[in-house]
Amino acid sequence: MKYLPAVLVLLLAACGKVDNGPPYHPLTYEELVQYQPSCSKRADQLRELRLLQNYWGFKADPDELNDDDREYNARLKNLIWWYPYNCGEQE
Amino acid sequence: MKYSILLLSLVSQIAVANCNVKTASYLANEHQVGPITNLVKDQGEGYCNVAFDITVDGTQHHLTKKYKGLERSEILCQYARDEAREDLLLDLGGTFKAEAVTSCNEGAIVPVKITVGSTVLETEIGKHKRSKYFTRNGLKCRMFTEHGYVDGTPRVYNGVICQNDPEDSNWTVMDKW
Repeated sequence: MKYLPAVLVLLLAACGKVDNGPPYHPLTYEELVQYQPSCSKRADQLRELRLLQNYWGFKADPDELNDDDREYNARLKNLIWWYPYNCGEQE
Repeated sequence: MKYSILLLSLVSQIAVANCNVKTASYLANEHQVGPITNLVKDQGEGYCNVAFDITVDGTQHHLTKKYKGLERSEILCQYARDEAREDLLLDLGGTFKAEAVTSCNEGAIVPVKITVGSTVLETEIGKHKRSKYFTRNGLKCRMFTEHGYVDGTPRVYNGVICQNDPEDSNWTVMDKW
């Protein structure tokens, strides 16, 4: 009887019904514009921004992006480089 | 004969027109510089004042420097020390050396496009409004701004370059957007 919860979890996992958390909603351009970088929140914010970068997977050459993507990418990279510029070396 | 000289001159000018010349000059340090001693730091949020002694060519100098910025105070102290030492060495003089790299591509226009991973000289890359140097993975870095044209429309690029090595005049483009 005491193994029943574990068995149920295994059964649900096998059936693909385990909840993987809420779907990922990437930040919009407007949200990036409003983003408030902070040295004290550096690690968490950088993790969030790099996740966003991986999600979009923009090409490294800005000339290969359309206008909207280039603007978004510029905002994102500006934020990512804000931390080493303003907070120093440590992450 | 005079036509062949004229022709040679013309060919030479065409070749020069398709060359890309990169130049840089730096103060070659020909002084015996000792370590920093008696370092005193007065640091707080957004500033650092340093005072220290340093011996150059057998003569001891007492230097002070204030540095303000948004970086951590330890970084500001490092900048202050570096600037004080650089200012002293500039005051003492030395030999300026210049170097140039010329790459030619006869018969075609040399495309000058800086991309991530390109090796550049710092002097050929434009300044950014955030003009201070910063440290990234132990390398000295700065941001840059570059202007270009795409289909006849002006476009402004920004990015980051980092020095390959403290003694190296080559920098690498780390990012561009």
